[in-house]
Amino acid sequence: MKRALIAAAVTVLAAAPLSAFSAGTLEVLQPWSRPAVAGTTGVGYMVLANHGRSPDALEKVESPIAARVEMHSSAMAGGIMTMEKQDKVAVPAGGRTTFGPGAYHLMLIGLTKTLNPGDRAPATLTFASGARLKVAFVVSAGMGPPPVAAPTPGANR
Amino acid sequence: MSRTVWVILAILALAFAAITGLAVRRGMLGPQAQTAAIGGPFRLTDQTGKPTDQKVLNKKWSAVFFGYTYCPEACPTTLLALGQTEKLLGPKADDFQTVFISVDPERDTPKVLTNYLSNTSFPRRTIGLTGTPQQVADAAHAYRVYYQKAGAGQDYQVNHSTITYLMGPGGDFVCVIAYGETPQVMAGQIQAAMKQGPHATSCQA
Repeated sequence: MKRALIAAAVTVLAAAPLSAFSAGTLEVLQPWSRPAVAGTTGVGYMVLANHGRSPDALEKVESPIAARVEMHSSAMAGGIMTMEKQDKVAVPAGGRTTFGPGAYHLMLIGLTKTLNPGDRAPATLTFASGARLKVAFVVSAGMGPPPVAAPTPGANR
Repeated sequence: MSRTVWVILAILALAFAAITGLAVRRGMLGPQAQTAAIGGPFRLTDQTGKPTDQKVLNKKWSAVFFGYTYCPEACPTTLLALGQTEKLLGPKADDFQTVFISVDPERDTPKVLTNYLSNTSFPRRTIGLTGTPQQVADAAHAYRVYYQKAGAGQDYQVNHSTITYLMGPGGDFVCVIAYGETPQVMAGQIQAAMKQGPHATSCQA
């Protein structure tokens, strides 16, 4: 029985996706970034999931490897990309907000470190509810997010 | 019905088909003629600080893209895609280059461009161009590219057209590469144009 429990625990740990971060009812899924050279601007993408019953909002993002981090929205109209700075980004109760190409994104301004594929860019997210979450944006080598381990059934609901 | 009538009907049907075919072909040729006049002369400075002009487009197939180094979204997306496209072209990549023209000459000095383009995921054969605000405005005008400063202070954004142009080795416009295309599609378009030869007028296989 004991052995079975240990085996089960090992299985769960091994299968747990490395790319999810959570605090209370907030979860950050698949934070990823793109290659960028020190001194330039990096990007941060992720999915914010709010499993709670009250709405929340991302208010502040800090990173030890960027002079500062801003939240922006992108919009494409007639082939022209327009960006707008956001003071906060809402995450509805029981809902998700996606930061991704062509949508909301974090701007890591003034990178002090070059981000190469496979690197991790650390950041701390602060929410309106007071929740604080430490995440690491994995730098992808491809056009989309880096591949992750096969999803585990039942996890991340 | 006599055999003569059948023969006449057959000839009439053939003639009708031939005329229809010609009309369709004429109609298809029409809109292509209108896509001329993208590109032309410009005077800019490359990332080494050397004054340069439209002759940088000569002898190679060029993907010409306007952007700025501060841009976190559209510019890296396009440059990362072109970096992978370059790899997909294999040996043909020697005949291909990326030309990144800044629409933010205030911040994008040659030194800033050099640093930005040292990203190993970007295409290896990239020429970065900047210039005086007037030179950049003239180049953007020649390529029918829109850009507009937005936001205040140091951290302003530049909203801009995200289109990429494929120019032939003579510096003439070949086709538009749409924003967000996969590297596979981009490489296919470039290869199709290369196959047509230096005077290619489309990127269709």
